[in-house]
Amino acid sequence: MSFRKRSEVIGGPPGVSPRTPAGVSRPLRPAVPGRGPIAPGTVPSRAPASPAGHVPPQPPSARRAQPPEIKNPAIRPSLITSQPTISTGGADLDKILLHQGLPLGHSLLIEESGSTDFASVILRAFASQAIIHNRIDKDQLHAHVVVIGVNPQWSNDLPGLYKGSSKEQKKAKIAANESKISVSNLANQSTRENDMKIAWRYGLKQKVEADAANDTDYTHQFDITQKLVPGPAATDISYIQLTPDYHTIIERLEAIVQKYESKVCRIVIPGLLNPSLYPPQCSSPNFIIPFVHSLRAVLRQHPNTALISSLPLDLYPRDSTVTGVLESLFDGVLYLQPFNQEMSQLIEKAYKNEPSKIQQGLVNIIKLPVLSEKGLMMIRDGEYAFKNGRKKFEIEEWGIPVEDEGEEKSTTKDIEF
Amino acid sequence: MSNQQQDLIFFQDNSLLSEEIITSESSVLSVISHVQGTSPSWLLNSLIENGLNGTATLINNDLNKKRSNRAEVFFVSFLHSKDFYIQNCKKNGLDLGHFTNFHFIDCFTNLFTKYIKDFKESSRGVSEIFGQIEKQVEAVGGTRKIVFIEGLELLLLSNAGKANDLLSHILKLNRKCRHLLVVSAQDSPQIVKLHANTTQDPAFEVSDFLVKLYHRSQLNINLQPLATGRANDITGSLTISRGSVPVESIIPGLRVVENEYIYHVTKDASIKLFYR
Repeated sequence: MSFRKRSEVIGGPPGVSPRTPAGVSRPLRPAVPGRGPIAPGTVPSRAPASPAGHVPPQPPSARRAQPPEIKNPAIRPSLITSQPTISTGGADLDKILLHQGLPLGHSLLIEESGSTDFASVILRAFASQAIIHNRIDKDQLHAHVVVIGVNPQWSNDLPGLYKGSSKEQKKAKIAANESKISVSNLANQSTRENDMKIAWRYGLKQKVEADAANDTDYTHQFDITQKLVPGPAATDISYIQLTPDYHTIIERLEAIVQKYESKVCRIVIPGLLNPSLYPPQCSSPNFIIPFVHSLRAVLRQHPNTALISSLPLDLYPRDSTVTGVLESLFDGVLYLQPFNQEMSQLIEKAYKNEPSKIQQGLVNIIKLPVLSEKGLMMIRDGEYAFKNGRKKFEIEEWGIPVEDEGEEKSTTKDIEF
Repeated sequence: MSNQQQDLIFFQDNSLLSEEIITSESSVLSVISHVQGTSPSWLLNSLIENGLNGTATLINNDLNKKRSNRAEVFFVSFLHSKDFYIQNCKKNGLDLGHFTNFHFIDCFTNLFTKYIKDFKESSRGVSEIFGQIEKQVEAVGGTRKIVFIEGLELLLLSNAGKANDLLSHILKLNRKCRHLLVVSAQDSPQIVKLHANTTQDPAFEVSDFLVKLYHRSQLNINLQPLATGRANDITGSLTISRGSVPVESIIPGLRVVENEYIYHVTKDASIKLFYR
């Protein structure tokens, strides 16, 4: 008894019958309809066979009629509302937004108090994420970044991909060396391939790998100490300079968004109303409210867009009218509240043996896209804390650290019961 | 606090948008105010449903008698597009795109790019907007008309309009329908500053507008978060109170049922109301 591979056609390669003598043509009609050898180029069908046993070939137009599957690795359905959602460039931020990212057609405002600029880390990761998405496929662009109000030098500081800890980088180097063609590598490779032979036969391995690749393409980890190399190209990013007339900005934005209609357009507005970027007249209600309202209209009209912006709260406190209106016009609002000196000292003292646990401030949720507008109470004050490290902008649940009162002294006295 | 789930009612005839108002010859004005964290969109969806069908599936089980084309419902929004309401009303079993008696007047998409372009002539722009709204309301025949208007405070906050002008437009619009519901944010001190000294402060205009509106209204609905802080099973409290002009003075026999509810809106858009 001999064994054959499942995929191998019984009777040898199609068109050649071992039982038929050479020169004698074998009829194509099989003994059992639908069980015969598959002619090359035809698709096996489970439909009942025609009375004559002949399956009429499908016209090419019928095959083409199926809608082409549009795949953009930058987009995923929201976990809550199933709306198309994009990653913000930070897995933790995606998680606290509850949608696993920012739903397209919506906006996020990052407010920050104090003299720090943690918000810019989030904004830059948001932009970098788009550029990394553009580098997944060689000939296809998936996203475009539009930066409003800053000069092109802003993109020089975009963070690069996190390549792992030094240990992981060494492992990656070894893996890279192993993948090079050499006699020893080829010898090792053949043994590894044998191990996977069964899985390969059923196509399982390829599927798992494809799924894993799709998962990793959606969001990436960025290293703020690394620069994005090579920097963004002109097809990746556009800049819109500020003008005292908000109509011009909106018109330019709409033109760019329409140009890149088939791609995800990520709009970034760093340091909204920061006096070093915005002229004084921009903080007047005649400019800022119509400007943000028109941006909201653009987002709703073009569902391939998403906006992120930062606002310095020391200049425009939360109880000011401007901030109140901005909070009502943006779909999502997060407030980064860095710890004061006393709190920072307490945390440093509590985690003196574990410096990686030291958090830098609180992340207060004021509004979440879609959910807050539906009437859900989404305000979360002091429930999350952030720490900005080389590895990533980490957001975790906040708990007041317990301060150890020195090392516990061992009991010297015998306890008598 | 009672544990039993309650139906929401505004008037003593156990109704939300009372039939007596719709059939009367008077015009009723209501104010729905809210703050950050208690968006009233779930309430508006149910009120739209009540206006169109007479039902309110999510907030009142007793209102279950469907009446097609109960009233002409106009929704004017300065904050949202039509898609927002079409999407959200699906939970109420409504496909707004197919209702001939639902009219959405979009004042959001082109507000500051088409209607109010030049702030030196903003009052003319505001007049044009209200002129068009009135025209659209008048163009539909019949008298059974309910109008919702949302996000008016944006005109005041951007210095596009003045409180007194807006009030005059609102009262004109109210006369063209049976029930006008004005939906406004009321965050204090960001949007409403009752002690604002300077007229240059946009919050002064909003405060002025709302205070004057409250002096004309018959029904006030206020949504706010719990004063005790966030709770997992409560979204906020809803207060129903009589306005300065009692509804019984214009429609005899009808009375606002003053009540305070606590409510909970869940992620799957189910709503639970309890007496407070």
